[in-house]
Amino acid sequence: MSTTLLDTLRQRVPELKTEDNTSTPAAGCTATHVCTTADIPAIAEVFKQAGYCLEMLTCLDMRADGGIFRLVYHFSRADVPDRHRFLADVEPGHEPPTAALLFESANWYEREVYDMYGVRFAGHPDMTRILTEEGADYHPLLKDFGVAHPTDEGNGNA
Amino acid sequence: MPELIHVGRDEDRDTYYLNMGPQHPSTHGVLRLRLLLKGEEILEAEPIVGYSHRAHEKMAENRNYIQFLPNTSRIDYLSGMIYNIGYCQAVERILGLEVPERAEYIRIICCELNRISSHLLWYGTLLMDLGGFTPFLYCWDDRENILDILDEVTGSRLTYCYGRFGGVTMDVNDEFLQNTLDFCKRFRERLPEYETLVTENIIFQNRCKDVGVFDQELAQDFALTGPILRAMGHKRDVRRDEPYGIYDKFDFDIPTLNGADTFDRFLIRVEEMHQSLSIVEQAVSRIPDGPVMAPKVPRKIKPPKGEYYFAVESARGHFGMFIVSDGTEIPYRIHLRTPSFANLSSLRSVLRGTMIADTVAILGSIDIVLPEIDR
Repeated sequence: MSTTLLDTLRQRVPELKTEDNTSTPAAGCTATHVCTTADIPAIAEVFKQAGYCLEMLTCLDMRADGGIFRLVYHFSRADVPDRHRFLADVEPGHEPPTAALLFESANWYEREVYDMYGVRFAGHPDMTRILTEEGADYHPLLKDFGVAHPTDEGNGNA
Repeated sequence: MPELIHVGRDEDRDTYYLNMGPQHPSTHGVLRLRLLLKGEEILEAEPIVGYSHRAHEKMAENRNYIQFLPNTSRIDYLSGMIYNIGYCQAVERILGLEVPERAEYIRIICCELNRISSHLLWYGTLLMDLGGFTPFLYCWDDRENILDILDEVTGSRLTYCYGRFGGVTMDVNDEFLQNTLDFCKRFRERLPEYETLVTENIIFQNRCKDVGVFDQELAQDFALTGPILRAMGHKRDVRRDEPYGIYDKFDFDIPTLNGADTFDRFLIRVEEMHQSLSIVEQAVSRIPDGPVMAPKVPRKIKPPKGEYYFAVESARGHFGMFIVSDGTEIPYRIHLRTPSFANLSSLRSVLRGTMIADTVAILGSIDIVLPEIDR
């Protein structure tokens, strides 16, 4: 883990909570950080300047557990393996700021999050659905959409 | 998305929209490209995806970890084996399951054969898009050999479900190993033929050289991975950077080139087939005897609560699985970070300013698989 990068991060985002994951290989990242969505543009800027790319962005529906959506960002480098995970909570109805102005890859990732969860990103150049049909009135990955019918075995009845 | 107002203006009489796809033989799946053209020059290009969305990620939340196994090879049907084994390895790493060494070797052999067969399909179809029919038949012939070999041991030809948590379903026999070696020998003799037939062909070179050059900043902007990134001079490969399985025990090169054009992406994949052959040969010569399943695999897979990430190198690049467990038998969330999704989104930038005739060459050289984009 590069210390200068973390120092820059802490300067920009003082209240960042960081957990070191180097000793838990299954986590698959160097460190997990918990931040607020308002910090995302500043964080993206730090990683952009350090030569990282936005490898992955997705969302978790945690409404049953805390009443929030949780955005998951993965930043990784194009030359040496180093991955940072950011978790940012979003209240339903709130619009987190977009990262698409800094990373082009965020454009499609954020459209996918909107499509699947209905979380809109403020300032996104084209906040439309990407995978489901135009004009659909559902967000398929919400936990209350198409209520799960686990199979008997999956239900623990096997 | 550009507005239609350009069209029909007197000074812009040559500007018009053209839809390529969704049913087009050169889009390799159901992809629609919305092209804004001025004469034959592309002003704007917008890939429109989602036609084969099957909600694999939703399915993952409706079944337990074992039941999701058959889904994995249907995400990217050309790298089915790599995805299937990769998913097993992801869950094994979470559970801390040790896999017997023989199973690890079998996995490597099967995954690398799968990589070659995926590259062969890409090779044949790229050439067919560019108007050459003969290479397609060459590729199909060789690919058929691989499918036969894998069919023998896995029971399927495309959507494999060979991996299990803790090993593989069936042991391979000596005939499988001999067939694999025979294939390697034959394919090594065929590759020079491919070279004289295609690589040295001046018409092919003229269609590909300096066509669809990726600017260096695109690598970071679009999070590009795989052969595209390596054709831009970046020595990135998950097999080397974050070794999984027993890839660290094998001797192979990560080919890179600096041209970032269609021809370089072509050469990178051809070289990768050579490297995969070498990995297969090393694995066959060193494969140990022993069991192919770990002795104690829990019947109910319950990963501890937490967030996990595991990546493998598919034929197209970095395939990552982000698994969230709430401690039950059913995954809370499995997000699939597929390489084609990020790679295809760069098409907007790459196609801008190129000629319409080059679209199929550029699209073909990116090597997309639509079902893994739509998931």
